[in-house]
Amino acid sequence: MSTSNRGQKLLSELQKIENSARSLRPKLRLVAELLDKEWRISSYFCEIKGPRWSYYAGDVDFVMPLYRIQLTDKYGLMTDQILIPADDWEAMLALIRRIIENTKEAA
Amino acid sequence: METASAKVDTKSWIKNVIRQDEIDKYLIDGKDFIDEDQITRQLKNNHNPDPSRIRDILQKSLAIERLEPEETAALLHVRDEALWQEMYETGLKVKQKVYDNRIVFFAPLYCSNLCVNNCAYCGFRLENTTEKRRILTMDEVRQETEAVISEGHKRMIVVYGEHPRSDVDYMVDTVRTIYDVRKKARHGYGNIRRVNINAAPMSVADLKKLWEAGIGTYQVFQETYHKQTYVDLHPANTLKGNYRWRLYALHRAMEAGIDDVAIGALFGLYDWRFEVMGLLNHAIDLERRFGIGPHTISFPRMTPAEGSDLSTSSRSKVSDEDFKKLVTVLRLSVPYTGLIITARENPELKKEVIRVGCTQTDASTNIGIGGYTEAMKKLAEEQNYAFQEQDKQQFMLGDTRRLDTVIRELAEMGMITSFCTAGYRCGRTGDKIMGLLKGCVEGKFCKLNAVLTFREYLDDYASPETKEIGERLIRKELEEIQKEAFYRKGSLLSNFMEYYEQTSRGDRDVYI
Repeated sequence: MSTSNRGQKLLSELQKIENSARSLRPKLRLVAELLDKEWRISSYFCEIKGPRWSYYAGDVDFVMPLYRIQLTDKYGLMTDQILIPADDWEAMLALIRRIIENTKEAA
Repeated sequence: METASAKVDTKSWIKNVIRQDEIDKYLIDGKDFIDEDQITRQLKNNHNPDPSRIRDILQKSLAIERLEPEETAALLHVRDEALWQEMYETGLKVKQKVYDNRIVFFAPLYCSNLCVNNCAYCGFRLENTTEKRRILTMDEVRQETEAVISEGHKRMIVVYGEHPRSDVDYMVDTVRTIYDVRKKARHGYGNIRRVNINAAPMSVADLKKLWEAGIGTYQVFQETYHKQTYVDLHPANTLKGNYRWRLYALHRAMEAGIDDVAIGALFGLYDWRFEVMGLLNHAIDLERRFGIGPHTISFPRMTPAEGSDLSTSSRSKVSDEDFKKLVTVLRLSVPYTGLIITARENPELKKEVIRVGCTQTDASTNIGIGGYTEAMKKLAEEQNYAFQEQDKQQFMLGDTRRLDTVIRELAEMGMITSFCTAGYRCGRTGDKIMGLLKGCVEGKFCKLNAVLTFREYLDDYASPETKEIGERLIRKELEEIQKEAFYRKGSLLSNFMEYYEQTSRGDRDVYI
């Protein structure tokens, strides 16, 4: 897997979010803001409970997601597009999964 | 008949249900949010409202703003019938602005009539010895669900009596069982896509278990907000006798993570104007504390119940005329909250109140324990589907018509039936959906999903008569969608049309 220069920049910003002292919700909010800023992708994260995907963090005004991506057993990502190169996209999803798995959930 | 050891278990179970600390934490200076003196004062101070003030309040409702209690109190005291006509018309306009012309359908499923409470108006009450007690096994839940799916339903509200045998673990098992059921339809399979729960108040820990099971909405009705009436009807030595445990049930649900909650009152127990004020205060307190109001409001009206004199003799019974008024005032007071009219009411009245702003209703309803399976058997024997057995149900229904008939009637009125369950499966929940409703955006998506799910219904379950009327309605809806500027932005219209074609070809559960 080889990420583009632009993808590398995104991953570097994501790593900063990963290493910050924030809890999960604000981290995911920042991830959604970053996706919008860097790639014009509207997104929000959901908490998964059975068939229910409940809004958790991200763009509260974004209403028409086209893609529903399950990241872990408990969290998913809703986005309007997947325009970035496939390798960048996969690397980004892997890093977001790591953020979710390694961050203590907000109380 | 319960054994002696089972009775001991029930007693110890009851002792552990109510957690006083999970009531006290919400009180302010030891007081709850129902200030009866204030409500009485607000009703008295607005006894003779000026028509111009009423028209100003209607403008506020049309701007999709929640009313203040003083404003609702004024609406409740309008005497002029011409002004009521304006209010009915405004109610419908508000509904159309927020929810468009759709109506959402659901089916109730009663899993158990075992109950430790003794409420004066209820057929399930402990001391009612004529009630035949039953709790469904998971196989029976599956059979009942299959019968409901066969009617074309996609959404259920599951109801339980308060009893250790129907505790939260039983509820979780039933929810998971229902979600698992698939039943052959004309094209592919039908299933229940959203399971809502109507159950007794419980602790935050138990509510978290319900939340993990993926429920849709958690619904608890206060029955009456008037404290003395509550005490009179719910014996103090029962779980339901604790007014505040019930009053804060949905606060605890929010705390447990359940962000779709539903309130309600049983009209006919106390003065209907007071109960409307109680419901409004409940909605306001949820908004104030959690930023999210109730997802829906219900206003069941007391109907005859087995072994309950009160259910037929109450002095606070609500007339049809007042019922329509109270629904209208609720529509105007909380413009962005769903309103549920159930099969307790007769078809004519249901039609009337749908016209003033109700958003959800049920049909093909059977509230006997195991009642759907029995009804399907009777149908197979070419008998009436709509039979009722008073000794197996909580109350008697006013509308026992089948879903297909009600859908056809609504289609003739120009209203589209929606089986949409998309919102809670793509994050349009809690404060996000509240924002979309207040901004009149959610209704636009609902319209699209209503068309997609109505297409499914017409192809999978509709009778030839309903299909004929339904096809005309769906053509009209498609024309409106194609003309509307909102849908022409970006790729929304083309995506929708692609989804519509997919659904027409037999794909199922395609949603926006």
